[in-house]
Amino acid sequence: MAKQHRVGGSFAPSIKADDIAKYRAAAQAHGDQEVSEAILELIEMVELFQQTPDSTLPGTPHPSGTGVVTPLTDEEKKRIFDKVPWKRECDALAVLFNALPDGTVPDGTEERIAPNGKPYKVEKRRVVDEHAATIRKAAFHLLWYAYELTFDREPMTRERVGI
Amino acid sequence: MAYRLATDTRNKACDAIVDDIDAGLGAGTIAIRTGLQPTNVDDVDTGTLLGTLTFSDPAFGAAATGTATAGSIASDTSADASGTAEHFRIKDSDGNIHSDGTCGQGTGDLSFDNNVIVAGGTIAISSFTVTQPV
Repeated sequence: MAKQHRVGGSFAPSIKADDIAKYRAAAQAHGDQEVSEAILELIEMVELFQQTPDSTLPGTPHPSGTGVVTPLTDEEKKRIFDKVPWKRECDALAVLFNALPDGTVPDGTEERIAPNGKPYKVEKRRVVDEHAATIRKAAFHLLWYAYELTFDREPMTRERVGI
Repeated sequence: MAYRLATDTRNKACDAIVDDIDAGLGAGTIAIRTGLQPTNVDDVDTGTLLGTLTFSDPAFGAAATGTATAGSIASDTSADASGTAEHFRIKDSDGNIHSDGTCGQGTGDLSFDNNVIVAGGTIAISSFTVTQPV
């Protein structure tokens, strides 16, 4: 059968200083040391990365067709090398983080309007455990950055891509 | 030699499959979810909904050589939850399941280079094809 062409992209929000403060506080208060330490180390990775300006090297189109992939400079790669996990370590963190509860419960459905004006329904969830919700978001937001940096590129944030 | 379908037959079959996504008055959707696909495609949803993207209407163009290509798929510009995209579920606008498949990093039926989804972020799909085998 012909190879199917189905390509997606994930573009997270940029991590701001107040996000880092919130994620650090949640991690320090979290009871699971393995998760807590993992999040705190990823925070250090992001803080180190954010100390220098973005790379201005020429880029290439993202596989999803959205935005441009900008490679990190060799100097930057060396500077952050010790803080960025290997991809297989990111994969292991994904397993750890996927087991985290999301702190929500089902809350019916809601109707939204698609860009073409047509309605569609989605399931809704309501937060019942703020700490759990924060820890899970912190974990995946930081893991997203980790994967981006393992690809040796400027993280493809929403703001960077302009969407 | 194996049983085979003519190209015209494949096109008709493929069109019937993808046109089913347009059933109902609203937009067909593709939901990105965590965890494994349900055991059977007709089973209820599993995992956590990470985000929902919407197809154009009609969702796909006419099939050629047995393959139909989706029109533009509207991104989810504010993902509902955080997690790893591991499978997707396509439904018509009445909520009837159409099909599903796996998501992965450079793998799976729908490939992301980074399949970590962050709540509030954007999920985009640039291309989606469906093929009726020979």
